[in-house]
Amino acid sequence: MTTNIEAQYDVIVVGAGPAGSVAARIAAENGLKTLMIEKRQEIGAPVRCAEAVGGEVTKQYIEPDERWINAHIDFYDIVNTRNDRVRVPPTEHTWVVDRKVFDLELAHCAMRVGAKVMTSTAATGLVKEDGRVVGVEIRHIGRVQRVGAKLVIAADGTESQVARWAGLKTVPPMSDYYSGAQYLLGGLKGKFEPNVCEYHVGASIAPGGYVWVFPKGDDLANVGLVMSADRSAEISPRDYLDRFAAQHYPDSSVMSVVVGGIPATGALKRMVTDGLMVVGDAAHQADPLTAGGINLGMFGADMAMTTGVKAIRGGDVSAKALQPYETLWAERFGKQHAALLQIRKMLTGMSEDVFNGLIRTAASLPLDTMTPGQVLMALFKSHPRMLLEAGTLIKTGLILK
Amino acid sequence: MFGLGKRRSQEVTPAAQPVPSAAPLIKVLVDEQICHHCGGCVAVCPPDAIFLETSFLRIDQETCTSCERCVKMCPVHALSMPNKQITGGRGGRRDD
Repeated sequence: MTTNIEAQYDVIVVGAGPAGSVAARIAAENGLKTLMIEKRQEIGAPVRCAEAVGGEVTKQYIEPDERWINAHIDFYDIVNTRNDRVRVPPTEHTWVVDRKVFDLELAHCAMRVGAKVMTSTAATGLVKEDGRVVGVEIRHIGRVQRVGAKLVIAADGTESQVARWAGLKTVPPMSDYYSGAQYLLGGLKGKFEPNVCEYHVGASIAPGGYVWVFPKGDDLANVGLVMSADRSAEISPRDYLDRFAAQHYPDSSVMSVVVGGIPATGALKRMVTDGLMVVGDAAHQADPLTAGGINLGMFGADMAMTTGVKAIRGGDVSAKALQPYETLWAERFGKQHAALLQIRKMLTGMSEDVFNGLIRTAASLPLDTMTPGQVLMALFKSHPRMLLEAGTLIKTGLILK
Repeated sequence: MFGLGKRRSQEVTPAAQPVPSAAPLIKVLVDEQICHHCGGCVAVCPPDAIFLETSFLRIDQETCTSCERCVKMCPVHALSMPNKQITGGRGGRRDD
C-alpha cells in the first residue's frame, strides 16, 4: 500500500459547525497551520438546529451582527398541556440566530486568521501510525488524498465517525438520545411574542422531551420537538410535530424542515486519544436537558485548543498530553450536566397530570418576588407527591445555583 | 509520491471494504424519498454500519446486527426492516 501523505498540517479540523470553526480559529490564531474540512456543499446548511444561543457566550467568539440575529429573547415561557404558563427570565440574554449566516461567518473568522477551509470534503478515514492518529484520508469531490496532521479535531457532529475510527466509545443509550424534528413555520402573526421562547412540556405532546417555539422575526418561528429516542418507534417526532402544529397553528406554512438526533448523555468520558480530540456534538457536549449545543460546543472547542496548542508546541500530542482538556471540561460542566441529566430523568418519569399541576401552581405565584426556596416550598405544599422527587430537586437546585 | 524512505506501518481506518461476492440479505432499508440525511441513525448504530454520504445514506448490510435502534430512532421513520417485525414502541423492551 502506498503511504504517501500529500500535505502536512499542524491541525486538521473535521466539520465546520460552530465547534469546528472556533477550534480552527484558535489554532490558526496561534500560528498553527490549520485545515478545516466540511463534508457538505455549504457551511451552515442544511440547518440542524433550533438556533437559540446565549448572547454573552457567543460574543466571546464572534462579533454580534444583526445579519444573523433573528430575534432578541427576554423571557422563557414554560407551558403545560392545559396552556398554563410560567414566565422566567433567561439566565443570560438569548438570541435566535440564522445558522446559515452564523456558521458561515464563524468559518470565515477562522479563515481570516489563516485557516484553510474546504467544503464538499469528507473525512473517509484516519491515517494511523503505530496506533497513533497522524492524519486524515479526505475525499474532495471524488478525489481521495491523505493529509498529515499533528493533531486531528473531530467536530463532525452527532453522527461523528471520526471519533469512532479513533476507537472512542460514542454510541449513546437510546434513552439518552433525542430524536427531533422542526418546522420553520410562517404565517404566525399574533401567535407568539417576538421576545419570548416557549417550551411546551407534556408526555402527550413530546414523550421524554419537549416542544419549542422560538421566534425568528416577523411572522416566522422555529417550532420543533425532541423526544427520547426509545419512545419514537411507534409515533415519530415528525408525527408529533404535525399534531402540535395542526392544533396550535392550523393555518401556517412550513417554510423549512429540519430533522435530527442529539446526544443527551453529558460529554463523553474519553474525548482524546493519541493525536486526536473530539469537540461539540461529536463529544456529546450538548446540554442533557435542553439539548442546546452551540455555546457548549464553542466552549468545548476553546478548552480543547487551550490544551491542544500547548501539546503541539511541546511536541507531545499523546492522549496523556491532551487529557487536561477532559479535566477542564469536567471541572466546568461535569457536575452541572450530571444534575441536568437527573432533572431530565425526573421530568421524563413525572406524569403529565403532576407536571400540569406544578405549572398551574407556579403560574399563580409572584415568582419575581420569591426566592427559589420559597417557590419550592409553595410547590411542595400544593403537590405533596412531589416530595418523592424532592431529593433530586434540592440536590440539583444546589448544584445549579 | 512515495514518501522519501518513510515506510513506517501506516494504515487507514476504516480499511477499504471488499466488494461482497453475492448481494447480502437486506436487513435495513432506507426510503430515500423520506430520509433527510440527518445522521441520527449513524449516531445510534452500535456496529458502525451506517454511513451518511454526501447525498445519501449507505448501509453495510453485512455489518448490521439488526438491532433496530436506527429504525426506532429515525425522526421521520425512513428506515424499515423488511425481514423483521419491529418490537415494541413506547413501553417496549429496553434495548441498551
